[in-house]
Amino acid sequence: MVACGEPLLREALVGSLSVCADTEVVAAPGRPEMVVAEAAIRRPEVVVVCGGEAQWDETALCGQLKDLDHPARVLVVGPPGDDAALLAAMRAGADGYVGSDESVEDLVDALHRVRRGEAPIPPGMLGTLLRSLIEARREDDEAVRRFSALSAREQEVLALVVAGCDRREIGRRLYLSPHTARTHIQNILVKLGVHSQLEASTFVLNHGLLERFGSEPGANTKEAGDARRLG
Amino acid sequence: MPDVLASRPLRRSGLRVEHGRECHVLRDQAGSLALALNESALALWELCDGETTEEEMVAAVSEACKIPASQAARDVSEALERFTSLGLVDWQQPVGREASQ
Repeated sequence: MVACGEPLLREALVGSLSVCADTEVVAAPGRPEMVVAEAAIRRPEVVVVCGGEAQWDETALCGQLKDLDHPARVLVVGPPGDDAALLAAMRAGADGYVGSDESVEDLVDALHRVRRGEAPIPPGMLGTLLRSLIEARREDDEAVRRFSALSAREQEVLALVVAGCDRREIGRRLYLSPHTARTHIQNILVKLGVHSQLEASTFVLNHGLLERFGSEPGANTKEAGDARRLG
Repeated sequence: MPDVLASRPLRRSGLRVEHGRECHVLRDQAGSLALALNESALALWELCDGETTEEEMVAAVSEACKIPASQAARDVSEALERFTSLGLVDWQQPVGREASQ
């Protein structure tokens, strides 16, 4: 399947791939919202995602395609030499990446490699990708280390901060005085090494810490306790 | 016994890479070494900075190349063993807090 936002480019890609042996283009959606729907229906072996000048969010598309019951392999055609775009695509689950300055032959070769289960990366970009993945993992590990230093109560408070609650609301939900909630928040900022509640929220969301640690906002709140008693 | 996975390979000085379109060649100053590196070997060579552990290399290769960690471990180990046997890298042991973890 060819998913491309540029009509001319899309037709060129479809035309080029259609004449290749062992390759059949089953669909060519031109709008991002159609890509996942078409992939769910047609179950293509590989989806070539190429936003082109339309500036699609290839990363979001990769994630959605990988979340399907029958996830397709995804080959992203992205900006040439763009290490950040490559890293984002690969972390979102892309199976390969081709720079938009490469030839159709290169694209076809990458397509076949993706079908074989390989992960084609443009020449000269693998080293940077590995370095970026290592840096990202180190940052994740450090984030987990800092989050783990929070007490269970502080993690509950932080989950409510992320949910947008102010200290009065946090105090009400956790049976704390606003002053105590404020103290917890100050301790959290110190332990996380951030300077504001907004920065703390961004830190938590960027590293997926609530999901990893199962700290749902409101899990031990007054409302949750009432619900448990009623249940 | 040192923890091999926590050790960090460091490129020896006096070595340089000549970049070609098809492959890359690692040379020493004396001109007695000419080791061809493919893209993967070059990427691993660049990670031999004395700070990156073999374990980190394995995890990154596994994620980037979409291969099982066991296969990535074999590939990384083979490349590093080759660098080591040719005397191209030294191994740095973890120090301080990391060493005791």
